[in-house]
Amino acid sequence: MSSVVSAQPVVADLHDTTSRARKGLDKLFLGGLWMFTLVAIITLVTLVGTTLLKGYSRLNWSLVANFPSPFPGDAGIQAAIFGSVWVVVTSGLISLFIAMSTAIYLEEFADQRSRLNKLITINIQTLAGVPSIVFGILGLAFIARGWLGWGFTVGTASAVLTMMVLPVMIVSAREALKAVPSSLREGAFALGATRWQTIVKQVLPSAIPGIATGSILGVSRALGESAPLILLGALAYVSSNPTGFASDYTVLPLVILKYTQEAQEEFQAVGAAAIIVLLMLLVALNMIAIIIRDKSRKSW
Amino acid sequence: MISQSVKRKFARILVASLTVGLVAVASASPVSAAKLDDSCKSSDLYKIQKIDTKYIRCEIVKGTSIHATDKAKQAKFKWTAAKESQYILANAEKETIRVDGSSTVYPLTAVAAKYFENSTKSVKKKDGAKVTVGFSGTGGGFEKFCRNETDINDASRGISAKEVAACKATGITYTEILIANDGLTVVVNPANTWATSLTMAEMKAIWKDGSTITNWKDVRPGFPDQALTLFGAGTDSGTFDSFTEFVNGKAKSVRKTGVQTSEDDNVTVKGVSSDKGAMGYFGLSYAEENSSKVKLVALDKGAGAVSPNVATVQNGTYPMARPLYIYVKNASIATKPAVGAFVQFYVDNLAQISTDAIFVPLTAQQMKDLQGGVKAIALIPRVKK
Repeated sequence: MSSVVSAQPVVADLHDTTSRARKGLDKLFLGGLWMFTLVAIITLVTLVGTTLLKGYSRLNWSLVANFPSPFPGDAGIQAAIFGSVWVVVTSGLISLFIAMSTAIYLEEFADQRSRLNKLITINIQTLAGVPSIVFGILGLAFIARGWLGWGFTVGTASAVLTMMVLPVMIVSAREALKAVPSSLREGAFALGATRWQTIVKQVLPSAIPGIATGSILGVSRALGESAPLILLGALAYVSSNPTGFASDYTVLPLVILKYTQEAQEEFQAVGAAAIIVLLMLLVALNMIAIIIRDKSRKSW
Repeated sequence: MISQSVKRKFARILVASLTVGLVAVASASPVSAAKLDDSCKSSDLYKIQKIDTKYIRCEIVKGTSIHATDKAKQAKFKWTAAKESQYILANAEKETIRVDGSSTVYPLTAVAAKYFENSTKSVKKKDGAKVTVGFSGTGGGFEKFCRNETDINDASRGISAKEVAACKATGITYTEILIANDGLTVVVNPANTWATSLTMAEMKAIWKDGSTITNWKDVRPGFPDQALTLFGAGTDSGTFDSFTEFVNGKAKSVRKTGVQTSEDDNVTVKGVSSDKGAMGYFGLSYAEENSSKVKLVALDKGAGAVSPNVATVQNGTYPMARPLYIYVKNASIATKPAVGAFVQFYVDNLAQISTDAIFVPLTAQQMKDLQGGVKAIALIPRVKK
């Protein structure tokens, strides 16, 4: 930056003072950024640290192997882990498929100027900001009860979480597709590729990093979600893992909620340990996304 | 790209530390499990045991099951021959008993569910009848119950007229079973030296709809000038309904301002224990579990101050003693053998279950009445699905 400025022979003194002032401002800004980052990191470290301290005593194999129990000594979270994995993986896969299709249609095929498509875009963006409990109420009225009547099952939970993460996924997938330079498409067309070939062979592979990041953000949100699932009958005491879409289930955030509500002090440790397991799952999920992103990253 | 290799390295380090962490956690598994197994005796076959105030492990001895041919072992289990066959049916069908409702009653039913599942599991065949317990609150639970979505509803109050109508509309008949006693306990901060007892009139003055009291000095002449903060139960809970009924004479009638409402009793505990002028309320067992952090207040209905404890709750002298119920759907008993079996088990082992869940048990008279209620359930004709 300074080299650009000094390349212009303006009045030397004036230039010097403004440059100093600007450099000072620069440093101040950088310092501010550092400070805010530090605040974020300190908050995170304190949260994780206190949780670790609280839950360390219960962070053992029995926690993962046992089922929820009214006694803190043998209370575990196995059903909750499996429940969470079931719900999150199924909703993640379904929503990934729908989100990709929607994004490809809207970005690559749809007429950007048509009213209908603009309406769809606005709708999706609005849906991305709707509180999760609203999706829970919707699911309760139309999926758990109402004409679908799936009851309080894994299927209902996945369907509702799918609805919840879809808008976020679509928006991020569209952004990823948008970021692919149009020269890539034009090059493919010039070589005689069809539109479909261009999308599948050129555009999508280039967009994978962005899509992966967006999807994992959505899935992570689903993993930590408890508000809609309380409405949808996630249970506190269930002694078996889900076996299919029609199973009863519970999820980690809900079990954590229940354990931290219990009267006995020892349950707080179980809750904290469960939080750590949930965090580990989250980190693992994010790792997968990072690996996918790095493996498929292209530069042009 | 440089950043890519850096990121890869970072990723590798993360993966490595995660693996190390998992391995460490796995290897730190408890020694206590082994110790417990050692302490199991063959005589404990079907006995529910509580060891070290925490563990229940001795229900089933290796290689035996409820179907054991040994008559002596069979006799230890409380089921009669007829009930035994009912139970076998329950086990064979692998039914799920769905329970929801009051979070106050939740621990009791969860303990019953755990014991029941343990008693129906055989060693070889790990699956038997299953119980699931939710905690939507008494009101939320009844909503599901009357929609035919659950078999049993936990309730920390009697069913309301509205709910009776809802159940009637869907044609659901049920049996009410008194399962335990509870005293709604008023708690204050341990540093609160003045309010060792309160009259019900004072309670009403504080909590009634339209009350403007925000300072202890307005509660009773002589109380210090200390801001009064109030913590209340969630409005969907039976605890809220019965508290407002006791104090204000009308369920759900409560002051609109100055109350922090929470579904989570621990929030109330934390709030009351960190604020000198705070007051809150919840079930007696919750209060006793947290008696080191909050002070229990005695209540006076005009016959002298009575502090909440097992005895005063059982004999009814405590002004806010209340019954806890489970509501069982008759149709479930008729069509699902496991539900009848579970209720029978719950009642048969109630003394043990209430002790372990730290609830105020039923009195001898209540227990007698209960057996009568269970007989009524036993008379419901069973239908094969």
